[in-house]
Amino acid sequence: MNPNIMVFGVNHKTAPVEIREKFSIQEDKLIYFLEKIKSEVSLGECVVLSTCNRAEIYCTTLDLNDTIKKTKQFFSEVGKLDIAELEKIFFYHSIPYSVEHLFKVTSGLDSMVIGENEVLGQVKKAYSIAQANKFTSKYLNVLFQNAIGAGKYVRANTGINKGALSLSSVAVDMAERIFGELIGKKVMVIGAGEMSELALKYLQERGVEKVYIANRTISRADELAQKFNGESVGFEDKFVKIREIDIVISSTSAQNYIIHKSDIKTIMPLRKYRPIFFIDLAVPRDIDEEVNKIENVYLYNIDDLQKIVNENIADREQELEKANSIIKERVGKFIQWFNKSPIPPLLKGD
Amino acid sequence: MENIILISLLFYLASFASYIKSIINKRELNFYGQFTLWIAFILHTSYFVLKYSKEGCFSVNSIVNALPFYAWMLVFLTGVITLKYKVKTLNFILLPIAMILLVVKIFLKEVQPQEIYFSNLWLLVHTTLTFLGYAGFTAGFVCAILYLWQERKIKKHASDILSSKTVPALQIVDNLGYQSIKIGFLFLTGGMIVGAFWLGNLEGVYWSGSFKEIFSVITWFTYAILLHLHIFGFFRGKKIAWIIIASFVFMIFSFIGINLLFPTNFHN
Repeated sequence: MNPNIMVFGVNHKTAPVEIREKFSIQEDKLIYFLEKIKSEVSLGECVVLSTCNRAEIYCTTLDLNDTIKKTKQFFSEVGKLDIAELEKIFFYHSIPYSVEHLFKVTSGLDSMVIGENEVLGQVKKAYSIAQANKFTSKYLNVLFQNAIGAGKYVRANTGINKGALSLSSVAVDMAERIFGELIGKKVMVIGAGEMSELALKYLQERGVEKVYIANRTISRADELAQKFNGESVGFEDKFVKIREIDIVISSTSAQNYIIHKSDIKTIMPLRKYRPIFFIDLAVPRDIDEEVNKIENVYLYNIDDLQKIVNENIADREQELEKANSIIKERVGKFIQWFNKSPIPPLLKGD
Repeated sequence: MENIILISLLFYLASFASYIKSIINKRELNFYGQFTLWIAFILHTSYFVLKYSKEGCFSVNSIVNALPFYAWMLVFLTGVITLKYKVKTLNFILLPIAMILLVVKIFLKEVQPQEIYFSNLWLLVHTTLTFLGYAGFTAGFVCAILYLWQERKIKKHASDILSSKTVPALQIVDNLGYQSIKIGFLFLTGGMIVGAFWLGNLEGVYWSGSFKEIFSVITWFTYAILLHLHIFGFFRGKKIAWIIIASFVFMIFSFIGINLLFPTNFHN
């Protein structure tokens, strides 16, 4: 008899984070966990995928019903939940749905943020640990190699992972749309909020040269400047500094505009009309929208960025159909191979 | 021999179709597109070689005969830009311009050249430099259009501004346009100097005062002013883009318009 390939566990679709975290497995305890589940539930091959969004076990088994019963028992012990509670959040699939599930996971179609890339690396790692410690053999080796390949193929051939989905990363993408490469560019942050800090982090990752922080509380400016290896600027001196800046991120808690059209109009000839990009992350807004009317000045506020985020989400959703058809085809090929493949000697004796 | 131009045009068309497909699918130009482009370019080049070996002189000797050479320069420039800057969209606009030039060439009657003027090296250098200049200005013109189109989208906060990655960033287009014009200007200057010396050699004067010459000098000054405005930072972005477009219209007029308006002109 051919074994069945199963997946079971909890993930972000079935359980909230406060439940999921009960099943979180540290990397250094993964091998111990694999050994334990393999012996207690009597599984064939086995891979454990534990991320912040999922705790899933992929395995081969000869007795489906027995495995389901035993894994529920095992999970209730690990999560310290009674069986009735576990039933509400526990999921399992057998072939072909288990295969399809893994292909969707590696492709980012099962993720909270559609098309995210991190999960592919997490699957690769989970698989390589299991493989290195001989928890996988013929079936799961072929399955995982195919699923990882499908994940790569879907990303390369659809737009599923294209387009940033957070305001800060869209702001950075916009900066690249205006300037091209950000290497050598200078950034100034006015008002040291959490979101501007995140944008600053992304900007630095893309190679901006120098970071300036202008904040009413100078100690906070110094703190942030230190964190980003930048320089703090007196709040009143911001307009002098803006002359040499390419990107300005503003997120103060001021109730009125702190940057007006006239301020920037005077600065532009002094910077020889070099383009400047203002990102206004504040609510209420910091920068008068009239600033956008000045030539070579570009201003985006929270709503403008959100509009792009929404467009990107819609774009990804449009790519879903294409991604799903690639997965369907690849799952079909795997199942075909699976049905034809002779039973490996190890499982014959089980 | 004119059939070579036709076949080459067909290959350009096939390649252009692949360009459209690649842009729609947001992918790189496929092998088929690249292959057909190479074939078209080789055929296009062989046209000049064959014509030279048959007629014993360089074939750019009338406005109609100059069109395939202008087209060839555009394709050549397109290739250089693609390799250096990996800018796909520019090709997307430059290729059709080259194709239109070839179509015009196919449909217009060939003018027989005056052998006395055209069988020498001066012409080859003069026309090559001038057309390299024209090709540079054409690329600058295309960049200016791309710049204005994209600038408008960014200013209007178009929600799909990040969806299309095929158009290069605003500053890259700006810079590419400026560089193309700078190079074009150098070539045009060289072409004009050689032209003046050629005339001096032929007729003993360096300036015949023809409309073509006058407008070429005006075009030269327009681009010189444009470059200086950019260098000294008086104008940037949108204003420069509009000046580039205006200068290009001038260039086209001095290249084609003058010849059509004054058919007895020396250059025709």
